[in-house]
Amino acid sequence: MVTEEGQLYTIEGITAAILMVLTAYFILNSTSILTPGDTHISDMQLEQLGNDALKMMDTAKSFDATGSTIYEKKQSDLETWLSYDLITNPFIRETVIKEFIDKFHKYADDDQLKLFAKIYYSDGTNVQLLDFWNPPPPDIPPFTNRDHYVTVSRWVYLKDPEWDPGEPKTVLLEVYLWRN
Amino acid sequence: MRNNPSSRLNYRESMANYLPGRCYIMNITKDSGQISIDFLVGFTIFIIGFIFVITMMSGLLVGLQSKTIDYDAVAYRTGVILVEDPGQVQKDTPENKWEFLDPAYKDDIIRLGLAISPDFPNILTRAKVDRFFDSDYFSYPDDYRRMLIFGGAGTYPYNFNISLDYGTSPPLSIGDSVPDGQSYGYIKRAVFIKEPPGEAVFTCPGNPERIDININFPDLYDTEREPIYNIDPLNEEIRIRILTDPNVELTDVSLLKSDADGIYISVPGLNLPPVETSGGPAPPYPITVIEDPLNPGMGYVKIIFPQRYFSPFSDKSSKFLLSFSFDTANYPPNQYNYDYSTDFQPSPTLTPAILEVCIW
Repeated sequence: MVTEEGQLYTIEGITAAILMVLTAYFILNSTSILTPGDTHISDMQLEQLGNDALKMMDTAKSFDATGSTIYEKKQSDLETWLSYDLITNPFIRETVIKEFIDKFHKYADDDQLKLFAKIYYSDGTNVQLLDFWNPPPPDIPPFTNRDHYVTVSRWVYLKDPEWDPGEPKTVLLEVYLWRN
Repeated sequence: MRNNPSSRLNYRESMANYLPGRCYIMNITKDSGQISIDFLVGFTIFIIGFIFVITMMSGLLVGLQSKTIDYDAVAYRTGVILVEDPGQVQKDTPENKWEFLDPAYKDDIIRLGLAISPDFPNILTRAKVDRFFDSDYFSYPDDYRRMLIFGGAGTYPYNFNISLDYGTSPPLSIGDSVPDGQSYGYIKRAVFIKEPPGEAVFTCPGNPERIDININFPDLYDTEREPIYNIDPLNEEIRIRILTDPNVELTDVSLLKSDADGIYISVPGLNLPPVETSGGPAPPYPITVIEDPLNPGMGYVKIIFPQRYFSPFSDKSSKFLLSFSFDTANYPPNQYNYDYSTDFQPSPTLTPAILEVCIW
């Protein structure tokens, strides 16, 4: 209440106002922001390991002088596997998947890693998906999209893949990695 | 209120008790509950300042040294330098490869790296791996901190442990183990190690008077293969074994270098490495190459050229002739080529390995 004496408010009002402001300030200033578990470091480590393993799988361990072309002389395991008939031949598809996983585990030195892979390629007009992993072999855990996974990818040059013969193509191999 | 007759009456009554000329101490305490504005302003300013101070006090509890959040970053950086960088030395050193630098020039090493070249990350060389983990060459932890961790004077002295596992037991390792309960930064990298060529085996039956082995560097530095698959005689160890009939007599071993005209001449001041035979070491000559009990029906002569043996007097265009001379020979000289068609045991291949870096 304003009077001629230049006094704005009663002291109780002042105290109450200050108390309310202070309380509001402390409440707002101390708000806890709930965040999910910080995983960016472990994700980075897994991505780096995954990229390293893919690089190693795409490097021939030795030079094959019997090959007729440079490509065949330096053909890596990855180029060999992804060139097989992964669509119409289920036995070859399952064999490739198992060998891929075994080699990945060996190079990453971690047999607890779970994997899932896809291939993207261009048919000249559109980008197509070669979902060769589904369904996975019986003893391979499927990818459910509920696990926290990281994605690593690598461009692989295939001279003449059996699943789309005729022309060489560069495909994008995308691998999902996760741990239980 | 003053216009209120009852308040005027009360005022008169209260003032009637005061006699003129006397000094009275007036009790001016008001019961209206209102404080002055100057007090209010001062109090408000004080409270605002007090709130600022209280807010800043929480910052006093924050650790100003941020080393703990750097552990993973330092580990990642160290892993990248080791795996993807070939290392670097000062420009005016006598040797541009740090793994072959004389200990007297160790301080000229700017940065340690194990990669064969920037063009082939994740491919390490055996020479660099062996030198990196050589505790007789590098002093722990100062040399590694200066050249790899970059935790020298003025920076935080990180502790570290770096290990490389390629199937040996125990793995190669430098640094202390991570203390129990200590938080640390960590990175794991998957790599290949390019090994020196295996032992080249030449089977030479029939007791020829001489066995000549052509070592043509241009054939070995094959541009088609790339450095990760090449034999590098200038920098790698070269091992040669010839299998002969038993009980032949070895009289001499010589190494000749082709000059510009293609004529093989001896290299002045060149000392051949010692030769090992199934009948014992040589020189002295002659020595009888007896039957090797591990390979019945054959004897052997073996020679190992250590790494960097050829580099002081040759380059990638050099050609050499390694000759083994025998007494009581039955056949004329045999010629062989040390090249990629040779039987190498083991055959050249990249060795997978795991590099781990821990920082705390």
